Amino acid sequence: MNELLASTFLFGIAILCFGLPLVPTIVELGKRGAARPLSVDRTNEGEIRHFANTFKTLLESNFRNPTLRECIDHGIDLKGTFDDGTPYRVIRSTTSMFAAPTPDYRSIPELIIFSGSIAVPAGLEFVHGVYSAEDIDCGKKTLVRSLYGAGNVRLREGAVVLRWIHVDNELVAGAGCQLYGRASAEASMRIGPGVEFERLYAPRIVFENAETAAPANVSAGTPPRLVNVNGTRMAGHCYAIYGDLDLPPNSLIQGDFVVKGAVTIGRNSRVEGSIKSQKRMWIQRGTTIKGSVISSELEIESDCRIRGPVVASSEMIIHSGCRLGDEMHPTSVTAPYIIVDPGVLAFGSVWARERGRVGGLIAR
Amino acid sequence: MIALVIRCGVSVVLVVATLYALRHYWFTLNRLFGSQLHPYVDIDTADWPNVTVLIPAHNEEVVIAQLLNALLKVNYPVDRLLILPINDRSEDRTGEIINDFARRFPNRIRPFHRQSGEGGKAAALRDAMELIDDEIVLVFDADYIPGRGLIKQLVAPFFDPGVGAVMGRVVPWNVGRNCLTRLLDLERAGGYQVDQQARMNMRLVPQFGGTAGGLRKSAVAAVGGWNTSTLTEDTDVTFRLVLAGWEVVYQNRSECYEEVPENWYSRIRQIQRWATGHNQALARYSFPLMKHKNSSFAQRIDGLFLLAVYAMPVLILAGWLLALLSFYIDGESLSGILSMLGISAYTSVGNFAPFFEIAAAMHLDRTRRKILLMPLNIFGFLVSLMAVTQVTVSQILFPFWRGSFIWHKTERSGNRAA
Repeated sequence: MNELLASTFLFGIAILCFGLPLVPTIVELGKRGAARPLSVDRTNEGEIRHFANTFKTLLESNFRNPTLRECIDHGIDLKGTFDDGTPYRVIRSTTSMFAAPTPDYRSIPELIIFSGSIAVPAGLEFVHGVYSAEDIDCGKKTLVRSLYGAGNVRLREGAVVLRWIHVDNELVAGAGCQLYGRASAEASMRIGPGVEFERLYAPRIVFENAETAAPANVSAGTPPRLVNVNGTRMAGHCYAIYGDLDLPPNSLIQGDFVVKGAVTIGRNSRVEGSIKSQKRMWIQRGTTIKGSVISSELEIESDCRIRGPVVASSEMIIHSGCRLGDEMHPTSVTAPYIIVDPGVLAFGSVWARERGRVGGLIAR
Repeated sequence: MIALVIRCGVSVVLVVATLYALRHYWFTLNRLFGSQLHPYVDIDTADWPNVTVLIPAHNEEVVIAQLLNALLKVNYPVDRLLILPINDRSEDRTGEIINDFARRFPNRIRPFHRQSGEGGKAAALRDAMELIDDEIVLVFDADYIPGRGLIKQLVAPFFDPGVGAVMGRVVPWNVGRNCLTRLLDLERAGGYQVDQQARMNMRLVPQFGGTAGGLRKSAVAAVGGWNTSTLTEDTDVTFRLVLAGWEVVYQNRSECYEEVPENWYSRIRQIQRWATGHNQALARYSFPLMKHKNSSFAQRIDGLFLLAVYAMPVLILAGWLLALLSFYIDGESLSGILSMLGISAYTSVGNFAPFFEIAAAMHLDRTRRKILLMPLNIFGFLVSLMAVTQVTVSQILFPFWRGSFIWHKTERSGNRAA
């Protein structure tokens, strides 16, 4: 009897040892708590205005009577709390200068909606979002979590945007501003020296005074002459080059080139196609590239023009006078680290995944 | 002498199997702690090129409409996107549904009714490619549902002139149907989120999966077009592109929903088809890959491992048999015992390296609760093991079998997740 009990006990223990770890599995199988497909965000699409659009929708859904439009049109002063508990204030623009709550207390605890053009004094901190129905001029060292400007927005020296900024017209960021997250403008953007940025988008992005900088003059001097590049044809007009490619000044090459080594493109050259280097690429002054530029490290000297996307997998330096994309062909410029000298003009988006800066050195 | 041969055999199996296991662990650690490579995902503004989307469809009446509807809603410039559904000898309402869409959207959808000719997806794609002029071609199976931004994401890498093919991430949407779909969800997550992305990070050989991806038409033409004598035209074209110096890019953030098989019979047929095709590619491309001077050493080794992935179950089986033989022939000696111990140790630890990838994928996807089903994955693993072993052994025993391959189409349910 004792033997039978002992055997049963041992058998039970063995079953427990194997079965107990499976209990959560069996419970989950029955409850189906995680039986859902992975959530794939099918609405965001990487759209740079995503947060701005969501913010505007949030505002409109929280203003029912009066509506946001009515508040703005009639200059209504309001104060209250949104459904999610966020405090807000609608400020009528009776004066052109917004006043801080107290001279010592610089932090604004509410979400602020300015219904008219306004100037914000220096050093204020907006811990919630800001919506400006018309132009807004943020004083020096203003700090905003996020800002939606329906008119023009000017950020004075040293202003900081923590999450995103979107402007329906023109954005001007003064020297030393820090634009974390997304910054977008529907018309144009003027970015001052020393500005740090991550993701910029506008049909026209001027890094300081591009229009006054010397324009690229690729036709000056000797016209480019066709150069035969010793490459292996991969397909159509695409050639592989196993080794480095060193093009002399005033070269003209036609086709797409995949270079397994480093690339140097001499002054005033012209590439009628795209070019890729698996190592370092150095594009010298006055070069024009019709297609895209893909590289590991990339330096683009002054007065170059590149029409297609410009991608570097480590770092990129762009010198003054360069034009990236054009009005008809907006493009993307992307790298983990980007240094853009004042005087560069870009059309489309400039995206530094880690850090971008106007002028200076890359600080990792 | 016989004992020595057996011992050598066991050692070879153990070394190869251990390398496979280490590869899985290496990939997982890279994905969790290494630097991640997504070079083209930031290209959001560009002068987008003309693109044709091919949809090979054989008896797809249940799912084709949802794919066409999804493609009509994408944010790609309308005048630069042509949708070309291939009604490949369908006997159901697929052709009728495609015609209805083409009538309503005449400038956007151009149907191709393929009434005769060779069977199989590769043949359908080959014939359709002859009808188009666009350089960039995307391919979607009929049960896929792309998001609005997916086309731009898949086209962006082609701005790199060295890219021949692009693959997006496949995410099952009928996860909640039954236990099998939930297990396949885990398997897909491990395979894409960890395995493919790690290969991309380490610049090895990400695989073009034949759907939710794209190809450069001139590159495919330059390497000989679609191979209709294989059951996995995707693996075949991947390796021909790599051998010709083209890059295959994996984009983990380009996610696309798919329907996974909902019954074991479909699943077994699907994995047997993959195994057959992969083994064909192993026979064709392993030696050219090893001799390929323009690929790095790591690429060649990883490519070989990728090609041989469906031969591994047979190798493990052979290892077990040899270890048993060694034990009985050579049981008195240390080597016989070590053979058994080695194979047992591998079966206990090394065999489950892919499970480590799945766990990491759940962590990265922030769906940790799904990990509770991990123990059940052993059943899926065993079923795959048997199915793959069956076809691989038949391929080894009948190596000269070159008859026309039978394309077993995966059944569709069209059901949304429960």
